[in-house]
Amino acid sequence: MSTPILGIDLGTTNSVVAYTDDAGVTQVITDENGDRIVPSVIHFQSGGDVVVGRHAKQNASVEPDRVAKVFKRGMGTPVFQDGADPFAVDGKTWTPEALSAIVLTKLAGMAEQHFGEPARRAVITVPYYFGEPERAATRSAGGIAGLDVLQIVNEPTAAAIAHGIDQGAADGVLLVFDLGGGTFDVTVMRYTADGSMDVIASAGDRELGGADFDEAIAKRIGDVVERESGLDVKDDPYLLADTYALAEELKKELSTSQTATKRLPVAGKPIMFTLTRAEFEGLIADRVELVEDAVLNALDKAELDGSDVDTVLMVGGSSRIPLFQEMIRRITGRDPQLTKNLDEDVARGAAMLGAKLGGDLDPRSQLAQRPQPKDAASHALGLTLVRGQPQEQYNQVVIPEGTPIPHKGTHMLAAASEGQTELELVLNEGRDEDLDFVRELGKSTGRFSRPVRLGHPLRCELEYTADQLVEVHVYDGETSEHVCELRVQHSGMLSPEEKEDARSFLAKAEVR
Amino acid sequence: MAAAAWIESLDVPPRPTPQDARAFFGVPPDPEAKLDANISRKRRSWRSKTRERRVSENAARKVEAALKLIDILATFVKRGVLEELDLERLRESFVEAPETVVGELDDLWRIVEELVASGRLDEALRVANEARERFAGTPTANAVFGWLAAQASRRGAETTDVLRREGLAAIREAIGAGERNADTYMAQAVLQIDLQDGEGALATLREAQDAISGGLTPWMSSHKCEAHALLGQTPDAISSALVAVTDETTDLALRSNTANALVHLVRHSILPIASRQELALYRDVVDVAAWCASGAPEAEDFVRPYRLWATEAGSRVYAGRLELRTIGAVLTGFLLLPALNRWRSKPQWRIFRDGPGSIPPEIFELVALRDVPLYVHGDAMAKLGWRPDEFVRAGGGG
Repeated sequence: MSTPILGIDLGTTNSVVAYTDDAGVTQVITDENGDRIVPSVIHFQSGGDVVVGRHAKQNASVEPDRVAKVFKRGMGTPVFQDGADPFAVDGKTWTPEALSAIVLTKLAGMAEQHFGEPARRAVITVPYYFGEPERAATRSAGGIAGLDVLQIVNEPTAAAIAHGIDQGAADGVLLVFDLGGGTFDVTVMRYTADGSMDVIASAGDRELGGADFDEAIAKRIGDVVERESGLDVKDDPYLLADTYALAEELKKELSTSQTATKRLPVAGKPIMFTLTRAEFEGLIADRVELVEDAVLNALDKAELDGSDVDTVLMVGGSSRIPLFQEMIRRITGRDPQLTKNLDEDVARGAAMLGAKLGGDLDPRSQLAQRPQPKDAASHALGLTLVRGQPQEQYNQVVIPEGTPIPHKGTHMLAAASEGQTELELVLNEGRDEDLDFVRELGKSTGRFSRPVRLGHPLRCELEYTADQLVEVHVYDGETSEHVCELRVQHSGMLSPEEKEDARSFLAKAEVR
Repeated sequence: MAAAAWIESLDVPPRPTPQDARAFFGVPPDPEAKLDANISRKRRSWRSKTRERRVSENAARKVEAALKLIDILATFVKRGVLEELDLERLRESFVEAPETVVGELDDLWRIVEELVASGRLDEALRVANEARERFAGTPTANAVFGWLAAQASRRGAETTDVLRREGLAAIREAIGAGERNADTYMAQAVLQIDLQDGEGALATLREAQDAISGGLTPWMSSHKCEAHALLGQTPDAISSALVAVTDETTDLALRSNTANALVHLVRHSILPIASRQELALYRDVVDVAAWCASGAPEAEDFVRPYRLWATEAGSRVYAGRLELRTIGAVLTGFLLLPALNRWRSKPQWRIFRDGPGSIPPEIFELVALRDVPLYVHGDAMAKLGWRPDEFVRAGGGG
């Protein structure tokens, strides 16, 4: 028997690794401290070792320049967020992809410790809004960490699997509300009695999560500290770290209590800080509005009302905040489903999916009875075409999001100008017609063997393969002559040399 | 996951009507009751475009402009207030302006009309100019250019006489080459009027009447009114105005154009009123202008001060020294007060015309230095022997 396939929730603020055994029982793997949740924070120690998790988070105040966090927001790009400088330590630059590889190395190490032998196969989750470059970067990060990534799966799908939505006896509409530490996703899915689940709409906020709520409380604490002691918490990294830690504690306590009081030592003198739930809700009111906006927006996109939703799953640590549960009740009229360990649901779902993919499940287990999940295009793919008078370029969707892959299709197009001799083929990701709102994935140019007239027929053949390769061929509609081709397959941000460099770093350094 | 077209659309005419604004929010096809919900929905949808994923700076700017546009139109549909300046700026910020290419000459009229309708007059002129070079000597290319010059002359304050003259030359060439239709004749007449050639415009309209079956269109009559007004031919201007507005009662733009022409006539040819006969003439013209303007809000506002002056100008005001009137009245036991008033009173038009020298300053100030007479005499003040800025800080107009 091989080691189980790992289910990994590679989160913005926290990561979790789980597995499902042959009997269909899912367990979360703990680290050396017994922690089930590993903060996605990396501390590059001066000696060359790398610390990931709780200790790295604690070290953020000691050596902030050597600590990387919330890098998932920049996955698929060289930096953590728009306009930010690249993260560099000791002259070496680290991309979000390479940093994610470090976190995955830590999680793989935990699994190895747990099983007593390496566990190399994994299913990794990503937010639904991740496009092809971000997914490719995540897959690449797994590769650098020595993992064989069997599938990249959407977080809401994993959450739904963890809750057994795929074993329902009837059809229905599911809303997955995933408010994590750094991002917020809301996904509307349709599930059927045969266990299939299709995403029909999604919305969210790539820069909204528990960290923002901590920030709001930390600001309030900072004001109180300044008023009572005259100190600016931002001037003292230790005090700043304590302030954020206190803010997080207060936030968590207010999920179960109406009032929370904590003590913060400032210059040897304790300052008592009390926050009521109502005050907390006031502090985050603007963010709450964004959350509600996203939920309503997902329903708008799905052309559904809140009352059409049959089941609501709330996952992600910040879903514990009662205000959001009330919001869901108000919008849908339903009580949301929450588990005690809602930080672990996504990883558990990924592990269950992994077990099914591995084929080692006991056929008598309940999980083995569930249907095999289908892979589908997470985003629409389109081609840049020309229309109208005056002519304008726009994105024409050729593979709608949710299309099962592998997929093959043929589209008839036409030459855009009189005497046209060349053809530019541009593949975009996104469903908007406006080219400013889609992402160009690749382009190529081809030549006709003779000038063609305006409206000359062209046949466009597309193939989207299971290994995420998109291939487009354009043929002359009259002569079947091949005019142009485009092949797009993302493999992450890093070049082969950079990947090798990151691998050798991880081989030498001790990741703890 | 396809969004309803109205959610994605940012198309709005340069001067939207309340119906345009409602359609911007999907009402119809949705019922009126969904207006508020649709406004929120459109706002949410556009806001999500930058919150959900990383977008280019250009896209972020578009979203910002779209959200402001949504706010402006939401205010318009809910409160009836339209911030036109912001609207125009915002439209420019996200309206794509690809360079227009004309394939065939037959497409030229349609393309320029579409460009003009979408507020892209400069692009239309560029296209028409290019077409004149490409299809040199063809009546269509010349007619289109001349028509656009007339459109530009009526729409933009920055239109120069050079463009008007060039447009006039092009349209003459087109008519000479056989392009004889209402549009070309009207464009020629408009350009002549705007170049202050009233006689030329009347000649064009006479030629049009002979060339086009069915006689002058209501708009041609309105332009005829303009030409007569330009020449100070009051009876002809009035009769052309009556024909124009009687023939076409529902076109508010036509009503507005005709009323403006008559106001131009009174400002340039009748004011300042110098006799009872001129007062009667002024009243007649303003009455017709008010009738023409009826139903067109902007034109009604424009004509309103002239109507007020038509009422006030004939009323008499005591113009003698007030203290002498008081003494006279007291000494005669107020028996001679009516006679004193009658003896020393003057109609307001005369006080205004004669200026401040002949009557006590406080009386002059009460009668002449007011918004209404100063406004209506804006262009005619030069004909008076006194200047309002010697007495007041602000005023005038026109």
